[in-house]
Amino acid sequence: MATIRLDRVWKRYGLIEAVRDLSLTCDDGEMLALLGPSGCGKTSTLKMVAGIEEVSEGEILFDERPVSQLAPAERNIAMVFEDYALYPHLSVFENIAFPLRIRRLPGADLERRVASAIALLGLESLRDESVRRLSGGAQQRVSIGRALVRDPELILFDEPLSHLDGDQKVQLRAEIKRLQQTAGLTAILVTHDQTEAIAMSDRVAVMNEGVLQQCDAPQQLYDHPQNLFVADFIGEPPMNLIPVTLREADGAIFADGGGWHMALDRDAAGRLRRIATSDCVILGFRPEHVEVIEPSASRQEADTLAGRVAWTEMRGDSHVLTLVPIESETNSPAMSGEEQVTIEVRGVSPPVGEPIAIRVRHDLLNLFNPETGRNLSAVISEGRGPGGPK
Amino acid sequence: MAQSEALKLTSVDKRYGDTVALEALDLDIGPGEILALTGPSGAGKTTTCRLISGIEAPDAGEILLGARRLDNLSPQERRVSYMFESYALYPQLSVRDNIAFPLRAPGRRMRYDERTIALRVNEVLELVEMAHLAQRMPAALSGGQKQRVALCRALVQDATAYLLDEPISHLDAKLRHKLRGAIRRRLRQSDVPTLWCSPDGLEALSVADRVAVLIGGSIEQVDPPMRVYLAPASVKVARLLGDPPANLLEGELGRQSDRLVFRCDGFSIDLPEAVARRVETVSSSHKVVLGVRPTELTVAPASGAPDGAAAEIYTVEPFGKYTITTVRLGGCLIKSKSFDQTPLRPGDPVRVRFQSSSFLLFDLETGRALR
Repeated sequence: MATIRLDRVWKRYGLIEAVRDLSLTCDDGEMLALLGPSGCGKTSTLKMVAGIEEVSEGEILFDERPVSQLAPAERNIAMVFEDYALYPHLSVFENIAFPLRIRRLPGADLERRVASAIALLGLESLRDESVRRLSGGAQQRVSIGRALVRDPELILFDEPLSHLDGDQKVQLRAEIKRLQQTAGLTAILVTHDQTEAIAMSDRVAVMNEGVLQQCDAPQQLYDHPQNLFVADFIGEPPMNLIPVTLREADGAIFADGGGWHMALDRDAAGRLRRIATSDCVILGFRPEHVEVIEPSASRQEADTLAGRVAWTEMRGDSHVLTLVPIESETNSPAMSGEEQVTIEVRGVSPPVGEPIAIRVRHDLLNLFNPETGRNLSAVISEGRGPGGPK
Repeated sequence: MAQSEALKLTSVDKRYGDTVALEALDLDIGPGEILALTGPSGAGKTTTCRLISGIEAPDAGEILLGARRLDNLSPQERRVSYMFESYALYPQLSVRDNIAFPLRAPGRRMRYDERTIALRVNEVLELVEMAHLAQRMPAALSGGQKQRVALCRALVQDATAYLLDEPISHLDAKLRHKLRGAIRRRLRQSDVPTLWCSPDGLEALSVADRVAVLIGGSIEQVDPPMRVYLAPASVKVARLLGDPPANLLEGELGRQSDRLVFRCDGFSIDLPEAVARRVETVSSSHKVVLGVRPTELTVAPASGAPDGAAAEIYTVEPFGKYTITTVRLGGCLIKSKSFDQTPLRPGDPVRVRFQSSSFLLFDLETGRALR
């Protein structure tokens, strides 16, 4: 397999810029996901890599060989489509053998390679079945087999799970990941589903409006989103994002906004002093990155948020609680997002209406510049100045 | 307006030719209650809505609103507000007019002036964050936007009951989260019964006062969310709920000195006293299904963990807030959910420990819970 590199790639359709100045690398043996809402440019990118669409500007390289002038058939790429694209009248074996028959591979060779793909995908018992009798999950395994058997330099997965229902989706998701890791496949996955992207890939490239927002390992993306778009796009329930005004008093820094008041710990305060150019920032923290303070504590600690439980949702092994500031109305149906804080707790849920105090894990607290959307904490840890990368 | 009343279905049957869609269905939704109806596709959720709304008639049984028989009334007379899974928007009407349609429809009981209609339409559009799209035509909407219009058209009505058939299934995760709360609070303001259908077990747990699990046309269990999750009545229910659902292992019970153990293909699990007490009356060597939730086992690298059953990593899926690890243990693939991260790869040797006082136990033959 090969290392795939996109070097300052643009895709224009007339005046519309579908992909803008995209540089990305998918290493040999890596699964890279392209993730984003519809219209973000992920499918255009996939099509350019496959050779189905021309590159408007920039270059795509396989092991540093430029390929943008090569036809799809000359690129040694295999594709797995969302609707499987199998030959319905052929058996599992013949579907997988198809690309080898076209290449007129000798019988014994063909037999051996198809058998090995069938074994890898656990399709032995279905070998001679007609594919139209198979479940969606099994059909998609056949189409992955057909991709593998060609021994391509790169496999492109285009929304491979979107036609499957719950159970089969979860199962095949794990199977593809296992196969990719054990066989060392180089693969690019295009999906709109963050769960799929995060679970299956080594790294995820998040795109929006044709522009790459962040490309990182899933955990990094989750804990340290580089900007507001990524922060808001990744995670369910989404990250709390509260616009606050900073105020200095008694040597500490307080954040006030949306009816909430909280003192920032010394670390976060120190970071802020160095970077914040304005008193306005957006405080971001994930619903599960909080600690619920024992209700016995009668007085509010300065570094906690004090609120009331507005409503609760049971999520199996956890509860999602929506909190509002202690003095606000809890039962208006349309409440501004800024007033609400969502937290996720394991174990027993406090009842609706109950006062509650939480402490945010400051090591996982993110601070964003409301104008540029940049994560101020990321700027610090990367040793870059404020203002963003571009 | 009439006082709100409970919606009740008793012994309802529905067949399509030889296919039994619903069999002896009993459901009872109180005034102001949200009952979630969940089950796999084809379970009969939509059929239930169609019978209550009056689009179709049951073959047997009764549908009651309070003391009044509904099944003899026309759909208009029932005044049940039904959000179709297929949306069924009028393509020639704008978003605003689609939503206002039931308020202007001929034969309606209440008359609304245009000002009231505008206020009500705006209120529901704001609830689903679509006020800025009021003038759009349906053809210019995305699937998720169409779904929200259909939802608005259901919520805008003064109804005797709400039937919401997969109201938020086509929305993205963020909007689903917001709307679960917003719709619930909106429904709380009225005190009519609501039936909320969803194939997503987690959605059912999060929105409902009670959850009814429908499988193959029959009700498996009706209980509050916590109870359905903690004490599923059958293997079929356990398979539907949880993220991911419990591992369901087939094996048999046995005694080892004075302890009760569960024996499976290639390994065994000690069952704690609390679980043993539940099965005092069944013989040892009874065939059972043991339900182990993914949080009830731990997986550690074999090098650092002397205890536990020897297993091998099958896959690791890191989700950000937790990691799902699948191990091959004996002849089984078992999922574990953990909140810390140990770098493990397929093929790595590990040890697995099962620890819980709340394992689920089912009879293998009947699939029913042993309690």
